[in-house]
Amino acid sequence: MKLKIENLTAGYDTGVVLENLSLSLAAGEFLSLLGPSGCGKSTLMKTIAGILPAQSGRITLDGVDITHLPIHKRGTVVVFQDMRLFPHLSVAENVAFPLKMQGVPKTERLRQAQALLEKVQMSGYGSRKPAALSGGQQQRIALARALAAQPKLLLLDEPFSALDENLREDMRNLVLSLQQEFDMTVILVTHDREEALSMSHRVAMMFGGRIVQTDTPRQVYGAPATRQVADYFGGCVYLSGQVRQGIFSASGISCAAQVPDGDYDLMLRPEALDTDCPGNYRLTVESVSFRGTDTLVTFRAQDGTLWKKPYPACITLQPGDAVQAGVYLADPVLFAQTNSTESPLDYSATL
Amino acid sequence: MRKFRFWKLFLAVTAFCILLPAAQLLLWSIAERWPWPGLLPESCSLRTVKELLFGSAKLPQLLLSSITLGLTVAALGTLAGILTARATELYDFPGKGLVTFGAFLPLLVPGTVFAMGIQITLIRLGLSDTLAGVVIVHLIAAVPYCITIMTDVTRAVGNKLEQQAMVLGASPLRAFFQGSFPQLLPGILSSMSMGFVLSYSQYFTTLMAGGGRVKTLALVLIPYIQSGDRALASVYSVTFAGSALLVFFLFEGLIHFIEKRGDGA
Amino acid sequence: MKRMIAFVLACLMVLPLFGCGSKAEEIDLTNASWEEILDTARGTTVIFYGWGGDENRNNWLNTTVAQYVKENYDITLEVVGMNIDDILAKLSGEKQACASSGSIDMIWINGENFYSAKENGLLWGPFTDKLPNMAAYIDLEDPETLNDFCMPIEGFEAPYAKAQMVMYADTAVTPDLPGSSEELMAFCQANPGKVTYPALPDFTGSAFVRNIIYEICGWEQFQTMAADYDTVKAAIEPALEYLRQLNPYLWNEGKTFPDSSTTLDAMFSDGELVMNMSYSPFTVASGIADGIYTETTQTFVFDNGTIGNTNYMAIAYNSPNKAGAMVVINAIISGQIQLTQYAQLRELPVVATGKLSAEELAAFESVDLGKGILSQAELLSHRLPEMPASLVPIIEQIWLNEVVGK
Repeated sequence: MKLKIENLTAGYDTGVVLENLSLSLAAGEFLSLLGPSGCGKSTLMKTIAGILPAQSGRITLDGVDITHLPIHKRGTVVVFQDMRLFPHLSVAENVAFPLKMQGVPKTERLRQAQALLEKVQMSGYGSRKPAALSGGQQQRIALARALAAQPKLLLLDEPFSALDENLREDMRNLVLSLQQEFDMTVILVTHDREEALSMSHRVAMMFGGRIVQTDTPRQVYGAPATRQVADYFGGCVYLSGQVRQGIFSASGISCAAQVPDGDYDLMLRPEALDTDCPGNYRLTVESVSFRGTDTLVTFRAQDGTLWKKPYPACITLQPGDAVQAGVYLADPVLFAQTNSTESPLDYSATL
Repeated sequence: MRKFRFWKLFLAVTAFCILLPAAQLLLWSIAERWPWPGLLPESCSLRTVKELLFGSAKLPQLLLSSITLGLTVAALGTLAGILTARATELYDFPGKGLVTFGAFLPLLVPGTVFAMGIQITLIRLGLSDTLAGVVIVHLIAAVPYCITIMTDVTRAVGNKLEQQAMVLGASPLRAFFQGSFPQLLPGILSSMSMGFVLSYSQYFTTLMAGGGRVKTLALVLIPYIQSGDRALASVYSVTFAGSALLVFFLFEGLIHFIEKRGDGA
Repeated sequence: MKRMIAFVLACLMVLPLFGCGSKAEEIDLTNASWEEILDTARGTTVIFYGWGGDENRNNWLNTTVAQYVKENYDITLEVVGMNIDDILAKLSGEKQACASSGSIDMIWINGENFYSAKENGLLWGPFTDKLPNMAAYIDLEDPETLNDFCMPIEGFEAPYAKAQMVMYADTAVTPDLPGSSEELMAFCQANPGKVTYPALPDFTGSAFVRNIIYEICGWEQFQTMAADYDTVKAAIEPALEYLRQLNPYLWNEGKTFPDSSTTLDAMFSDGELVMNMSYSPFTVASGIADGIYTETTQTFVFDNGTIGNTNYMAIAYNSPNKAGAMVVINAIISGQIQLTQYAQLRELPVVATGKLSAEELAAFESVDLGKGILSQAELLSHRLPEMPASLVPIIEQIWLNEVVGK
């Protein structure tokens, strides 16, 4: 239940992916591993499960050192993205599989399987074969099967990315309700920001094989530890300015800052821009695009900064309009300016 | 439409080319004199059938030992195929290319050359003229085919289901049998059929390795073909082909039975 | 780590393949008495390797002979069918691997094969002097007991059965059967394209050519001829001329010849040829009985005689049961067994009529072998000896160069 990873190094023949990684999880906690493709989140998940051997470091689960235990003895259960239901077994037999491995007699395990099927709202499907089910249905069965194994730690490897948009919401709710009911410790591996933020107690941001920030969703979103984290949630705007004697100023905006004097970038999200409440910040509407559920309005500030903010569809702004907006500056996030010429990382393209 | 008719014609011609000689073989089995240009034998008798069933070759024992040998080679060859396929598909190790190449070496060396050479090795190992020696030699002939078949199937099935079974609490061996094995089954039966046929039709290798002591149907059949008694050779050939087909059909039936069980509730 | 261990183990398994084994203990058979030999052989198994393509012989060995040696000597006889080339290959392989105890006891062998086997140390002997039945039944002065294709046997093999070259045709198709080479020429002219002989070096074809050579050039000169290509060619030149003249009347005009005697058998029974030949003198009777030949098929030989030879039984150098082998060989050359071979297999016996008792003689004479054959007496009175084995391949080569397609 309680997971502790210390100085874990793991990788493949092609090279080390995780280096000296550490992470802790409390019992009953729901943690998301969030990051772009190739950041090492799947590698970390495989190492925890034992599919990939750890090169050095320690993994402890409930006080038991599982670093060198074989896969089937760890108590970690994985639900994979491709669901991997056993094609030759019926749905009920699939769900009962972990119980069969534990030696539970047939009638008992099928009874328990039936109970679990009810939990995932797939009661009548016990005698069908997995090939006859839709993607969403298969995912439910995979979940029920994982539950049957009574895992000490449940690992979900991007389980919803293969599903339709509509289904994902239902599945997320199902997972959450099951997690609460069974008080399971869960690690969700995902690249979907909304998913991670909405479901987790904590989010661990991973980039390049390292965990960059582990915090509550609000903190990760609102107080990103690095630009990488900030940029991952997209839509960031950076205002370059300076801090002098505890005051940051840039392009007509100023706020208090408890950082040493120097050049800084202020990170702002589109939500910080308030066009209803007039302020000193001058912008011009560059484009307006209707997106169905909302309208994306692109502003350009005097200093050239581009803002993209969604508005309800009924907004009346037109390209060319001049706007004077205010900027919410509570808990400002300041990043020291580096000499690198990196442009702000754009993660919106990665899915 | 035209393409369909052509295809049917082609199939019919092929079937004719296969069935006509087979029918001829059956006729030859009971023929006494069949001079050209008669379409049917001049005279027939059951001499060869009596010789087949009651002769000194002891047909039931011969069939039993030949089929058992064939099935043993099939099973061991398939096992080797499964393990080799797993090693090359699922793992990485130094010398992997060598293993893959080595698996195909038996196909490059002619059977007679190989049989002569292996005889000396078998003598040194004390396995000449034994059933074990013959099994080994047949295995060497059959294994390349089994490996090829199993490699394809193993690659297609992968180890995903095994991984899933293991995280759900199955030991590696159980994970293989519960997860991958049912998916590999059609390939396994294919490999078994191949291994069986190869072993069943071995002549020279059985002769050299078994020293003539290990008696198979092929071993008895070939000298009769060489001797020129066409009727006797035919009746033995019919027995040979018929028994091999029987085992084949059994394998086919097994595959269908398993697939049917898989599709059902 | 596990992989390293597996690899090392695999390498170690290869080691026993190098080097020779130890020699086995041997009873001194050269000085043992016949009773001691019988005692040693009691309760053992003897394995007899020979050509397995004759199912009648296989049956005879597995029933009549096997029962006889079991009842009288408590020996289990096991028969293995294998071509002589493969047998000798197996033996030489065993010799190369220093296998002191092999799996072959008795071998059915003769001619060139015997000679090379003896020279290469693949046979054990001499042993025939120890067999009581050699003196009792076999004519020890007969050139065929002393020599095999003019090579000294020196006691390394015992006679098994006699063979003689015969020809046969269906008298319903060709009523007049040739008795000499001239008549043969006329026969072929009367039946163009329907006579031929197997391409040399097939055993039967080779014998047919040698028979023609004997017909035209006489046989005595070859008994002591040097094995030299030019000498032989000069000696057989008239026969070569005859064969060349025969070619246009042969099947396919002598441009090609059937590959083996087996093919000739098929062509004859299918009616493609009107004449066939064989080393088994009574084969026509078997053929008629099996329904393969018509009832009117008849055997004939040349008036000057046809070549006869003997085939033999030998003992392998590394036979694990030499005593048993000797006992079985001794049994096979007995009058009783030779009689069964004569009656059941229709093969010429090796026993000398002069050494048979009156009863045994009567038993032989009462056997009716069937139709279409010549009697034993007729055959033996028209029997010529083989040439030295060394001349045979030379003649085959000359034939290939001088006769085919000419």
